[in-house]
Amino acid sequence: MIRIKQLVIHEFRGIRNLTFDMNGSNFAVCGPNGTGKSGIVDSIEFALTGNVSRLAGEGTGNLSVKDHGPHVDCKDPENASVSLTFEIVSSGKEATVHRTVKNIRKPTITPADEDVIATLTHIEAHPEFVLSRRELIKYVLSNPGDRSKEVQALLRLDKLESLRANFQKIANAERRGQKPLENHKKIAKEALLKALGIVQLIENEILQQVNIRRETFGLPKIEKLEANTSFKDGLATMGDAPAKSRIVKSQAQTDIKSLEEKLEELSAESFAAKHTSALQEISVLASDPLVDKAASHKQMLDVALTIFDDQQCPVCETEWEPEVFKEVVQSKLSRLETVKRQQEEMEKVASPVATIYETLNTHIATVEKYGPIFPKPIDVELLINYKNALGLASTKLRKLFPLSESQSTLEESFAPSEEVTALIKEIGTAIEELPEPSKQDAAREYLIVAQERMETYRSASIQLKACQSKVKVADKVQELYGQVMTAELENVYASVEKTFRNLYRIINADDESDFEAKLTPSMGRLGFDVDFYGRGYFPPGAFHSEGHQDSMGLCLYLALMQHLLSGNFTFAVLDDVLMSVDAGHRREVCTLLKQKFPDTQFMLTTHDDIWLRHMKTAGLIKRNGFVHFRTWSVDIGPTEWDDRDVWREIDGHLVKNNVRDAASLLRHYLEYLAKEICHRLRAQVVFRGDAQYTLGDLLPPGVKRLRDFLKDGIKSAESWGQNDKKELIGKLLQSLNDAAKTSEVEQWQINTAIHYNEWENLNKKDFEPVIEAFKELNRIFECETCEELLYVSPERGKKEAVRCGCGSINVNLIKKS
Amino acid sequence: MDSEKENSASSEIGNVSDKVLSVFITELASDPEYAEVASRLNDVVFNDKISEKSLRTALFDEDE
Repeated sequence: MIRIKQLVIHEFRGIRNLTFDMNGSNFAVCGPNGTGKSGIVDSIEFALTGNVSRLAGEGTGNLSVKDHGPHVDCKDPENASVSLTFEIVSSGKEATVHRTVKNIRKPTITPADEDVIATLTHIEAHPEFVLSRRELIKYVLSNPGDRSKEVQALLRLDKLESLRANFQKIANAERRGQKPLENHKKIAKEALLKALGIVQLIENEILQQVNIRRETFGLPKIEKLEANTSFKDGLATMGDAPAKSRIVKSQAQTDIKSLEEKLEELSAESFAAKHTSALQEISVLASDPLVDKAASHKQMLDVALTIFDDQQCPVCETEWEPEVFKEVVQSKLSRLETVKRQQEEMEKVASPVATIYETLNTHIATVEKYGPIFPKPIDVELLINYKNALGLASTKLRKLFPLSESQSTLEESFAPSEEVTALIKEIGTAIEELPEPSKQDAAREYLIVAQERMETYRSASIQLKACQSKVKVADKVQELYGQVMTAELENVYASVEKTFRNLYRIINADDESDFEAKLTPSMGRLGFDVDFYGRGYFPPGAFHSEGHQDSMGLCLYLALMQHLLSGNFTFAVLDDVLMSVDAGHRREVCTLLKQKFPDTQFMLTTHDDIWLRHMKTAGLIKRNGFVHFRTWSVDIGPTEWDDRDVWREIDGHLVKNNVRDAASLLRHYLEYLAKEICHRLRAQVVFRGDAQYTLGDLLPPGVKRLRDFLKDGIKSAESWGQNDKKELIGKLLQSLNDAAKTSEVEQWQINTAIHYNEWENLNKKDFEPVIEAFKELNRIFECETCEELLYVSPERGKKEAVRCGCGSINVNLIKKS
Repeated sequence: MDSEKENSASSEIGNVSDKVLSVFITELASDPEYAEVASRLNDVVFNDKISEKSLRTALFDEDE
């Protein structure tokens, strides 16, 4: 979406004042550890997003951009700032974002056009353009659950995952709500059956019993039981004398009997077993105070996620990026998974005990009402207290936390006291002493009570049905969503898997050209297995070297970004991601980035000078496309290489009359250059088993190889009648011969006097021509336009041409037949 | 052309998500029993901010 043109850093992350002109091209930052490379990455991230990953997230403790973003000596956060000028690739529009630590959330955007703000908003929401080694390892070596989160975040699938979690939560909640309603309906049904005096709720039996009572009053029979049928329909108009007692004796007898039966359950062995099991399990966990704390924490986090307004933390009102906040809270919640499982286990054992207490509570509530309306009222206060104690106990057990309260509830006995037992007996006796109702009274009472219970049963049935309907919808949606998400993500991962495999093969063509990999998604997890030399699929960390793992991480990241952004993948920061990859494979990484991502601006950091030079010689970065930090101090910040070029640094040493350092640097550079030349031109070098090649082993064969190619090129141009081409190649050949002669490179092995070991003993005047000679030689192997070293094409098989990266130099080696 | 590119860049945000959600809504709507639920969910799931409450409302046609 964007490419960076310029970065200006002021008093931020250990940097005092630095300006980099990147001009939308690839850019490298090189330097030993602690010289400020990461400060550049942090600055880019800060300018574009207002955040610094290194100061946020897991393991960063109390670090913050506000407090730890500015340079340690910077007292005014207004002065700590980063300005980043970028180009929106699709429109070519240039814009600048200037952000200070003082006003992190209010950057100055110039111009503040809608498309510029939209672009920055997009980047701010998805800062995946930075790939650090820490991130890279997460893709490769983390467990499937964590990898899934990382990859989903990168592919911006977090919304899908959040939706899945919400659907699941709703379905679970509805299923949980169904159980009490089923219990409620069951109790209502039992009460109705008792009132009707039948054992099964069958329409014919209900109507038969009801119509017998209705006949007593000469009321018409009810032929069909419908949703609004009333058993006592017409009864109010009969004008019969009301019952002498307000208590329906038969019903009261049933109620007191039911209560006594339920009380017996309290002393039954089956209840004792459930009770003991619950007490044991809860006591164990209650002894650990961390469990209660963790449960409260979990509850708090659940609530925090629900009430988070996408701006501020609901507790401390700190401003958060929505996705970062959710990620942090979810990460904490995932660590409380154990608590969740323990809670579910405890609920399982506590629930049966709570159910019995609740049932008893309901039965007492029915019986206690009789007390004040007996002909001689009975004080039922003791019974009410007992009922309330049972109610409180069941509430505590359902609530579960704090566990100490559940434990003490279970330790307490809820068997009725002698006084309560005596009171129940007294109520039972009072019921028995009630006068037997007349036939009509009995019939009236029957119809009234049956109708009451029928209405309760109908209400419970309606509630349960509504709940079941919700469960059905929630289950259907959850299941279908899961199926669709899995199927679609399998397609996505299959595509990413293919791209990943192809990218990895490019880097490792020498030994893993048939490499395969498998990304296997399942609910909330992403398996990642790779082929190990045809011996089967294993996790990446199982057998592959650390270097291979690094390149896997890079390839997976690139594959994901390519899938996500396609042509809009225009910028990425690769922060020290290839530290374990060897020189040969890094060269292939350069080829990969250049050839497969030609429209992407890469910013690369490394502590390795050789890797930097690889980038230069492979043409991944231009001659001025890098900064090289050498040292860092708290007062000055990073110190950059002034010359940005090895030749300039050599000259610099010489200006200071430091022949020793100039000679050393020239030697190291030429060793590197000679290896590159031989590799790229497929030069024939005398093999050494110990691979300890000296400059004399490599540079002469490299020079000879280019000379031979140029001679072949002249012959080829002749055969095609391309005289101008022939002339150009001839000039190049002449330059090469001149440079070789001046540098005496081909006399290396026979003239030890010019061996580099002698250089440091030369004086400045004598060493200057040596440097100029090799500088010229180096120039001939490079293209002036793209600054890439020449190479022979193809890499293997019959040689067809000698080229540079941009095509300015193209020496055809195939003669006209 | 440039503005088209820019639009496609903006719509890139969550394109995988939107595709998954579109398929899901289409499949749910193909079952006559759940067509209305699908219609209500369609108004919710493509929004940037999705809450449990808004999903419940869509699933069960509950009052906000």
